[in-house]
Amino acid sequence: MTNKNYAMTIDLQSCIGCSSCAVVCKNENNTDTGMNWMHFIKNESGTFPNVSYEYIPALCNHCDNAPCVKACPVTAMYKDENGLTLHDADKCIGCKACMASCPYGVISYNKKDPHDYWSQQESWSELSATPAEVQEKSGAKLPYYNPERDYNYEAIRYRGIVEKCQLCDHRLARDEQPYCVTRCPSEAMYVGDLNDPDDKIHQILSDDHKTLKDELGTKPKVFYVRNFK
Amino acid sequence: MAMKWQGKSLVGLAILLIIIAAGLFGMGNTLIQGQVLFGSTELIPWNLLIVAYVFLALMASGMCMIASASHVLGFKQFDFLGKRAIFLALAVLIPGLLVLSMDLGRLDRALNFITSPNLQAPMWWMGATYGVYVVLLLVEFIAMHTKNEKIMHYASYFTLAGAVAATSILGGIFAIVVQRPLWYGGATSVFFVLSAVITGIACLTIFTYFTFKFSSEKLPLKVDNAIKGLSKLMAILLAVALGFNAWRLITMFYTATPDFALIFNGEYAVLYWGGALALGLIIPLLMIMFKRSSGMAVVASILVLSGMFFDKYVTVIGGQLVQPYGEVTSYSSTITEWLIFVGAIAGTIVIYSVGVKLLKLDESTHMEAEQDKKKKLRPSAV
Repeated sequence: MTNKNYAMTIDLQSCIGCSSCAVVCKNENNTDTGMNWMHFIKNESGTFPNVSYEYIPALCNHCDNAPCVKACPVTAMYKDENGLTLHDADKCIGCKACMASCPYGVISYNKKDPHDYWSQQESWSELSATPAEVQEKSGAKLPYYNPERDYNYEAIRYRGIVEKCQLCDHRLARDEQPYCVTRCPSEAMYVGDLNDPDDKIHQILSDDHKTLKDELGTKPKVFYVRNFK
Repeated sequence: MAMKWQGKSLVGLAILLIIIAAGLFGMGNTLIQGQVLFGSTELIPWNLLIVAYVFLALMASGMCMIASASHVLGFKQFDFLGKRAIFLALAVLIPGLLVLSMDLGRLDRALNFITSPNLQAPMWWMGATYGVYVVLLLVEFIAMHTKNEKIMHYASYFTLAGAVAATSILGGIFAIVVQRPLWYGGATSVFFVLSAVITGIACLTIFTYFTFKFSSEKLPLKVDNAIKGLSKLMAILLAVALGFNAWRLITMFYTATPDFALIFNGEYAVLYWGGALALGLIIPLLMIMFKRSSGMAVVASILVLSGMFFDKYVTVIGGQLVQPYGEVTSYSSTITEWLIFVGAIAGTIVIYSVGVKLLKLDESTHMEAEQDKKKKLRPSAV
């Protein structure tokens, strides 16, 4: 069986800018407040009434020529056999060379252990338990999180290492689309295999498309289809 | 020669030990609480500690280059400074490496450098070369101390090569990042080697001057001449550094990136024009040109050191301020970062002072001894 070469398409004319991809990504991958594997670029330009607004969902581009992979001194950032740019939490030494070299700014660093919300003593209402009480009663350090992420990556990362979008490789491994793709209300996103000539991705890419900062030679694999401009 | 450990010296030592204790407190706190104590953010991954490390590592390499080049190329005038320079390089580099280690999120995994190397990564090469280089420096120093001329001779070739390699690879970490105009390009690596020599000369001048000032009424002629000689060399290199900066500005002017605006007339303009250029290059160059005395050379060296620090600050921090899609962010250092940095400097001074007291740093090296023998002169009494 030949290896896959995963790539993502985002149809900018279908995208309604609701950010649900960014929200559900946090659910699926247990990212902490302020840390976003899936985010967006927002551009506003012009003066009223001649104004222009652009909203672009942005995530790791899983570059074929990934600067983060080249910059990581301990191979914690690596290309897997299916063309994904992945992070090995067990190898990472927290030097942040990947962050400094990524032209897209999509790698995050854990300055502290995430989700300290669960140790807080204040409840949001007098009638509810405090997060610390829930933690204590449930006996779990993090009472709510998605354990599925644990399949092939740390479900909850920890202090001193970086983290980034893994393109839901735990879902791709069982032939499911990444969670952001499945929860997009306008079905603007899709992940396909560039090595498979029958994959729908080739049909999508027959439309006009672009990648971010492709002039840098990083060979990004998140394709933006049908831009308004 | 032994330093007079009396009165003022003891007070000075006490102050240094307090600063070191503060630095150790900052380090301990970092190990316990993590990098929440640092001003680095998601947008600015590298903080003051990286600036400090670059500054100190270049300084150490520069001194090693001076010492080894004097030996390898036969600059007899500076040969007697060799042992002092090599020890000082160690005294600067070891605290410098400690500073760097504090910015590693998982210091406990440092062995991954050996077990899981990435030969494409400049940072791996930087770690490897600095690791080997520290050992070479130690070997050279021990050879100098035990007067093993053969080992000292060969070691000086290796340390010279090691110092140049380590310094340029350190520059390479920044030079490979194409989207950051203040970092990108092969010139960055070359400039790092140049600034290493400049910083090294400045540091060696300051330490040598004050060591002899503390121990004798009048600066010995040999030391006075060496400092003047070093300052001439520094003046030439300062002029070259000005040229580097001029071309950096000119090339960036044509692309007019937000990074250029940042240093040209933006947030970092004062630091760049005033700190790195005026204070660090132009004023010391003029000072050395107009008055060639040891005292002036020392004042110029102090300015050069401050300027080189500003230069690295502008490069490392300023280089990160402009975000991938053009937005400009800001960075504020924290007290913990400063405590660690200042603690490291105090550590250097204390290690050096101990070396002066215990390790006979002013001992004549092989070449000078030979020279003295030839001239049948009494070895220097300084």
